[in-house]
Order: sequence, then structure tokens, then C-alpha cells
Amino acid sequence: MKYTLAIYGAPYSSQAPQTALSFAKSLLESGHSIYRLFFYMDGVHNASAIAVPPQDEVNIPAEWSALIRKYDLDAVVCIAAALRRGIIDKTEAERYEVSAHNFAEGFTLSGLGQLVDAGIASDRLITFGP
Amino acid sequence: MSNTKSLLIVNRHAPYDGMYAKEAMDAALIGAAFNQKVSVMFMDDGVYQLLREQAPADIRQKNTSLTLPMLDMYDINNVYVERASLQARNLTEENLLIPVQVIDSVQASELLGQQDIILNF
Repeated sequence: MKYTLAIYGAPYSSQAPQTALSFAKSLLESGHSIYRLFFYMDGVHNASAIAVPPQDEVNIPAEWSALIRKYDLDAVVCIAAALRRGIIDKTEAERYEVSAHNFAEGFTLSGLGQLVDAGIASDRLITFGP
Repeated sequence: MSNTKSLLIVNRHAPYDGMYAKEAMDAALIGAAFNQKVSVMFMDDGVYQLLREQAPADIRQKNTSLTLPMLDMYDINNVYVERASLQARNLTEENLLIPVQVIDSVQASELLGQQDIILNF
């Protein structure tokens, strides 16, 4: 089946991202496909390229990037939710003239329409969090 | 996108408790713009989003209730409120800013069961 996962929780604040990550891996290993990962609300923090948890803890943002790269997944981060929380890519950092950017590789900034589109196009839409 | 699905937006958070009210409204309106069959349900503390005379400027928030009439403008006519959530908060339809259909918990359960897509806020 074709799945979309909507992730609303931030890593280390919520268990939702870890559960979603495990679920995504299980889906792909079972032969299902992922139409889209959509990161919304506090879930945008999963797309931070500069999270540095201690070495004996899971680096959830890095695991997402690795999974996205391995399976060439479509991983969309809600742009409005991201920008207001300080998750920003190079293009938007230049547009808003802020001094840094921190958007992880493999993710894309786009609008909430991508979540609704994914709901229409997928067999299952599963929400993780808040 | 050619096919039409039923989309239910479930509001369970009080207004100004994070961005839930605003983001739920965004999702509902985008669903309508995508020509989906959109319904909206308010339950638990979410019923507070519907109160008349909200004045959140003192806490530096925008009044999210001002966008509620947008539902009607986007032809989203199926707006439901769970009765027990109103009663538990000593509220009636008289306290609400827009017309709604008050449903009991069995009807709410049926409504959830009928949907293709449910987005919780």
C-alpha cells in the first residue's frame, strides 16, 4: 500500500518522531511504499541539520536524512510552521535576510497543500503526534 | 487531482494553546480548495475555539475566531460540535460564534468512522 506519514512531534520532546521513523522503516522493509513524509507543527524540528544529541543517544534528524536518501523519499516540511520556529533553508534565509540556515539534506520546504494532496493520493495517511 | 475524498478536521485544543486553531483552519480551507468533501468537528477544549467575544490581544495573539466565517465562504457546511464537550464546560450553542450541528458521542464516533482522511489538531 501507499502510505503518507504526518509527523507533528519534535524529536526529544515527543516520542512521535521515533515511532514514525520505526514505522517508516518497517513499511519500506515490508514492501510498502511511502508517498510522502510531511512534517508539520513542532515536527519541523526533525529537519534540523544542526541537532547534536550526545553520542550515546539516537540522532533522529540524521536518521530521517539517511532514510530519505536511502529510499529517495519525498519529505516535505511545512514552510509556515518551519520558518516561525527557526527551521530555514539557504534560499529563505537569503530572502528574509537572516544570518544562518539549518535545513537538513533531503527535506523540502513547501506548503500545507502537500499534506492534503498526499491524503488524496495515498491509501493510508497516518498521523504521529502531537 | 481527480478523485474526491472525505476529510474531517478534528479540533481538540483550546484557542491560543499553540498554533492548533490556526493550522486546523488552514488545513480545512486547503481541503476545500482541493475540492474535497470537508467536515470540521470541535470536541474537548476545542469547543472554546467557537466562543463569541474572544479578546486575545492582551496575550499578543491574533483572534483566530475571526476566521471561522471563512468555513461558510469555502462552502464547508458540515461543522459539528460534540454535545458532551459543551455540557462539561457549561456552554450551549448560544455561546458559539457560528452555526453548528451539535452531535452526541455516538454520532461523533460514526462521523469519524465515515471519513477517508482525518486530521487531528
